[in-house]
Amino acid sequence: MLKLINKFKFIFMLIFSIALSGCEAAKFDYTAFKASKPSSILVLPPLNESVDVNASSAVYSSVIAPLSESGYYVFPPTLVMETFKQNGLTEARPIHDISLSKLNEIFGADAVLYMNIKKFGQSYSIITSANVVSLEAYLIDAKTGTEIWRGQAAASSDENSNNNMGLAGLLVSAVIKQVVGQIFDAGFPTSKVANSRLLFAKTPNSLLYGPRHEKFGTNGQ
Amino acid sequence: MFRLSFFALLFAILAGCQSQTLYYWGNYEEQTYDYFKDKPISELIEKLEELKEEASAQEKPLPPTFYAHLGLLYEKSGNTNKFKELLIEEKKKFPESAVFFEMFLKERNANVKTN
Repeated sequence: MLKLINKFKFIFMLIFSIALSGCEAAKFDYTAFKASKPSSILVLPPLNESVDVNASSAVYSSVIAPLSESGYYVFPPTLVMETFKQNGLTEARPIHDISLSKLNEIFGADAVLYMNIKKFGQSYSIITSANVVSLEAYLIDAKTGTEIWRGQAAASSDENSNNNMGLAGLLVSAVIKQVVGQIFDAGFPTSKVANSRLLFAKTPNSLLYGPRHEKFGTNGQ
Repeated sequence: MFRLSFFALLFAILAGCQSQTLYYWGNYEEQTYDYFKDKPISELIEKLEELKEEASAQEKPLPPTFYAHLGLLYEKSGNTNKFKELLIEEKKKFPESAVFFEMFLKERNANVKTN
């Protein structure tokens, strides 16, 4: 009888430690990020894999808050877009292909964020239709060209916004009101939630806190 | 009586939690989105100037990009002086932006006094 209990104990501990080690492996390695120490981030207009024409504007407009509130200076999307336009570039793909040295010459940013919108728009199920936004991004050290961070996040207008971990938790009342009020353009509020999950330092595996935040330099997040 | 003070305390705590952002946001990001959707510039300027007043009343700083974006709106409505003034303000508050704005102003053949 005792032997049986011990066997179960052993199996339980084995499963538990495997599960834990699995969780450990999912943490992002911030070594390169810490070595880079960026203060300013240039977000390029996002690539868009969706068919929604509003996707890029909605996503590009909502990177400002999560990055700023994480303690970084972020370059104004509208002026960045204006600069590219003046140089004959309006599409994200050729903008993403610009060399780092050229970007450094124009902007002088510490790091460059390349974003891709994987999903944006209405998603229908039997019960309901929701607005979904799915993003991925990687951050490059502007001087060395090293990738210092990579991440992905998604949001749906359908979910219960009880997640107070991200920036959305601080601005949540406005987001909820908008989702309720703007059923036909829930893409923007949903983009805000997705971006806050992707880029706000408080979210696990997101960016580290930047120099303008009091938590800058605290270990990990 | 006890219930009232309990809710007052709860509200105060929640309000405190709400205002723990570094900057005053209002609906600034929505305004940026509206700009990309080609809403009339004069309306956008009006809304952002209102937001500026709100921030000032709450004694909270305006976020990165705000002054520069408002400046761009003024420039597009023909007010170059306001544009230069606001870009200088952004540069002062956020020196990380200096390289970009000096280039931006140069490209528009504006004369800027560098401090």
